[in-house]
Amino acid sequence: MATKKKGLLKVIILGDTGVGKTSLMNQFVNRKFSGQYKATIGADFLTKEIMVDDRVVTMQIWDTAGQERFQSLGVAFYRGADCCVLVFDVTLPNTFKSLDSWRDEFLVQACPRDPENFPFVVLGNKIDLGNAAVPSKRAERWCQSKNNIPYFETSAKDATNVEQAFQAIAKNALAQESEQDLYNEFPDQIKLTGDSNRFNNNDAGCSC
Amino acid sequence: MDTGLDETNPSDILRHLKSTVETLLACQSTSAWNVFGGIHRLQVAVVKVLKHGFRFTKENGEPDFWVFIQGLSWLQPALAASPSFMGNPITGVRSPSRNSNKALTWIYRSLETDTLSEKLSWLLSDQEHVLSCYNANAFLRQPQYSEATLICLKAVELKQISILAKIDSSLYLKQRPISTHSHRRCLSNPEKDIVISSPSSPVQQEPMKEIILPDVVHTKTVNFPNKFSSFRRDRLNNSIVNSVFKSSSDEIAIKKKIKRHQLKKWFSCSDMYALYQKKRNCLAFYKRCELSRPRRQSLSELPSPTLEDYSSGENNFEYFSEILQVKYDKPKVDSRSKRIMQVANKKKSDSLDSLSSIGSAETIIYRDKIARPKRKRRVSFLKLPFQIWESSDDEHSNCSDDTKTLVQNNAISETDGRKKSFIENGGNIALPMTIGSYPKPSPGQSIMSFLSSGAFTRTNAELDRENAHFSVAEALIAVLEQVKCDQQFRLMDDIMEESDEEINHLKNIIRIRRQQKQNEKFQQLNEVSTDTSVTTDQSVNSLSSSVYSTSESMSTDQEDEASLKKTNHLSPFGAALSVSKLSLNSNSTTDFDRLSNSSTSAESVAISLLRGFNENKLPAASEFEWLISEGEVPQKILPLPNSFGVNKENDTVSENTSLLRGTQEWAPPRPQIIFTPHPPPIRRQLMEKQSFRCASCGTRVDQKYASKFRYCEYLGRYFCTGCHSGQTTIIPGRVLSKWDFSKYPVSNFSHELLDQLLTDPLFNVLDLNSSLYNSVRALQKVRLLRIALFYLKDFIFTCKHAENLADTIKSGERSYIYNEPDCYSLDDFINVKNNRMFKRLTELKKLCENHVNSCQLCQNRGFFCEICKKQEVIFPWQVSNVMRCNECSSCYHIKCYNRKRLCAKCSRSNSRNDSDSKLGNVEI
Repeated sequence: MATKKKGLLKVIILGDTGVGKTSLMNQFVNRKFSGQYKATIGADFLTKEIMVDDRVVTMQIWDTAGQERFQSLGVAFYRGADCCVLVFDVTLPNTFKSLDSWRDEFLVQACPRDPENFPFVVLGNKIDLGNAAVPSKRAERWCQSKNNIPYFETSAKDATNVEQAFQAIAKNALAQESEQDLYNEFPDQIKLTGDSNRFNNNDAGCSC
Repeated sequence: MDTGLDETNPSDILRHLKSTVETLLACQSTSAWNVFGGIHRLQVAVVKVLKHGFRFTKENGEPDFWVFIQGLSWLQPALAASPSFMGNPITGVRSPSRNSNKALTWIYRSLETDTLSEKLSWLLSDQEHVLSCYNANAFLRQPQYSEATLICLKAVELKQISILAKIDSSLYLKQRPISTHSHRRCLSNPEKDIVISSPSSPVQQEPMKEIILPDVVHTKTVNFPNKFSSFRRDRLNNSIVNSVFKSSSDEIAIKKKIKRHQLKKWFSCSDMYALYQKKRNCLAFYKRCELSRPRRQSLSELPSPTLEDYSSGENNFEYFSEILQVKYDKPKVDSRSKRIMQVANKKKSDSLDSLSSIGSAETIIYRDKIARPKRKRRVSFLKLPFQIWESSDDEHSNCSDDTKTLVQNNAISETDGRKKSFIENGGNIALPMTIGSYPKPSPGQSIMSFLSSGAFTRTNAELDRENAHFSVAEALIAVLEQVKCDQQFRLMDDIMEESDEEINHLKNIIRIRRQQKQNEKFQQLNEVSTDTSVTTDQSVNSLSSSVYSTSESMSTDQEDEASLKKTNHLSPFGAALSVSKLSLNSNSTTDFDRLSNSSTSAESVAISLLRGFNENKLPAASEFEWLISEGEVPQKILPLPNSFGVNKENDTVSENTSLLRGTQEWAPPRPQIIFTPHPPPIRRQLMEKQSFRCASCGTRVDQKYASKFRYCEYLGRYFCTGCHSGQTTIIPGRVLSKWDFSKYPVSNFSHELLDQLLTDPLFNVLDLNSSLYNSVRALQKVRLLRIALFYLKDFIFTCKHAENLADTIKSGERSYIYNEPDCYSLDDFINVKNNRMFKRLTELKKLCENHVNSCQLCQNRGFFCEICKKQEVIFPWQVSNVMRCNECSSCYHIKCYNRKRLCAKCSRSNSRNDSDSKLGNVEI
């Protein structure tokens, strides 16, 4: 159990094409940004070790293709995800609207044990462009309706909020992992409480 | 009547009889007896026959064959009565005068009333009577000879010299080989001809021969309405007369005159050829006279024509006409031409060798490519009777066509060493028939440079072969007319200036020697046969015209010198010979060297013909008047179908050329891809639909010869033998409809087209005939493999750990194999049939699956079945138990899907779209 906690956090980034999924990942993992657009083909992942609550965890970040035409590849990697990141472009309302379907699809394909409480994080990207068409309030309202999903407005270009967002993602993922443990070892009462405490802590830490 | 007749050889007697008969018949008078002394001469010959080996002699020791004749009185009394046995001596010029003249009178009277053959046959029919009267070695005791005698007599009575041909020529030989054949069967015995034509035969030492053409031949051939034919004939006759005077043989002179008289009526191709042969021999004879210094060569040294020669020639003609008839009667020619092809193939290597030794390096390398048109060509030569009914142009068009394919092949091999496929060429294949141009000379251009200009030759060579031919032929005719005209003017001047006999004579000698040299050159090259000066006139005449193309003599003819070359070029030994000949003859101008690759084309033939002239004498290309100018008959360009891609660059080749795309009645075939088989053809209907024109070259054919056209299974049309050489190939429509891989005869155009699109993936089985998958197991198996690869390639090509494998696939298979699993090329179909494709793709699929199973990334890109929610990763290529939604490409177990009959993802997204639109309404 201890090894599992220290182990891999599987994070899936979803969202429409061109919202900046790959850029966000690159900014977070490599601290680089390229203005050139290159569609992602299929799914691929990068890994990064981060510190969460004084613990070293390896994040396995799955970058996916937003384009329909790459649907010929499967999404088996959804399974076993610890956290799902939904990304939209704040300048394009449609990309925000489709978050619903991304979320639904993910829940169907990933088959989490507790879909209601599965940790999502929503990122409104391209905030640097300044002409946001999706106001923060609207996004936050949607997040609240979906069981209080954390919401960040980011810019992969300027690295605004990227680090913070991924920190929150990691914490939520860890929380999810703990929750899974809880389910796995339901008869162990003590662990249940411990886990729930940690979840609460994470939640508190995130709100800063 | 000389004594010692018993010692006379039967063959001598027969020869005597036959030559007498021939002399009589050669006169062409209404009755043989109008010839002075004719009847008497024949009587003498018949007496010789009857006396030979007769048992009973009179008191004076003379055979008394009256005993034999008397037999008629009891054999056939009716006949015996007619000319009275005891009739009074006729008041003829030479009535028999002796007391033994009973028999002679009887013969005389019988001959006069044309009844001798009948009577004699009655007499001979009774074996006992013959046995009782004649010795064992007697002439009439030998059935062949007695029958030959009857034939001779019959020939006189019917006045048909051709009947003599029925006599076995071996009978004339002194040491006659014991023949197992009866002479009648020898008529169609090919051995006969071989014996006669072989140069070693003693019969063939005779350079001067009569040409006797039976009616059969010239009725079968096409008249040759070319003014040059008469032009040449006149010249020929002149030379004949010349040589006759030189030999100073009255007899021969008379015969020659007779023959000339006969020949004048005929303008058939065989006659032209015969004349040509005759002319050659006359020249040879003439030369002999010239060279032997006491110019009065004694006649004795020149063997005189003998019976053998006539008969042998006639035999051959008989044979020839038999071939003709057989061929005309036969409805289908495929098997025959195949057989001929096999024969031709045997000789192919020889001619190829000579070709390659002369040709460029490319020619050697692409030998097999050249071999194909060559072989075609041979066939077209060998099946000559079919060409007779095609116009005389046909030979030319054949030549140019072959050259064009040859040139085309060369051009292609030069560029990339590989033939471009149909698709690679953008569907615009450079077939000879598709686009034609009509070159015009630029002002001041010389005729030679015009003919050898690029407009006529290769690079922009999509010449319509017909039009090129017409153009060239016209140029040639126009030039020759002009030269002839010039010469006549000059001749008039010459006559004024040079009346000196001696100078004229010397000029003649020079000219003839030059020709002789050329002849020798030609013979040296000509290893295979046609040694025309050695073989006798008649046998060559008939033999060569039966084996070789008559088109030699049919083609346009003109000047002596040129005609010699011409026959060389069109000789049956094909391009090889003409190339070598050309290159020997040529003074290697650059233009000409360039052309030597395509030496059988109309242009090169024309050039070689014109080489006989001094170029300075030739008019410039822009000077002479075209017989039919472009202005008079403007060529209409038919609109192209919309689907046909037009290359703008090609259209603006030159302002000097106009493109020809057929007429209202006929358009050249366009490269079509035909997916369905044609219904069985009804020749009459189809030919009517085609207006009795060849679908490829537009040559019109007479209705009665429509049966000679050949059906192309691919285009479903009829083609002339020039455009359809009986090549066979797989028909896509038949493969698609019936999985029928048998080869069917197609036109040359289709063959070329199908050859080019062999590897092009033009056939989508799902669209064209999806039921084929159900009926053909092999195809179904390959289909499953290809579908698997279609899915696998998405994984392999996007996996960063499978770059090598991706490269292997991309280099090993053409993209449509895995991108369009239902598309096949003809070649693919063949590979499916022979299971090669199945093996290949199974291998490839195994490689890909191995990768996916061991690759973490690929495994993560798999699918889960949403319906059963099992943890098992599934992939779309597991076609046996996994299916994929065509809409959203999510995968399910087939069993799971069959339970729900609904794609979960699709239904979700559908309901989402519905609610979205509702939601959108609310939000607005």
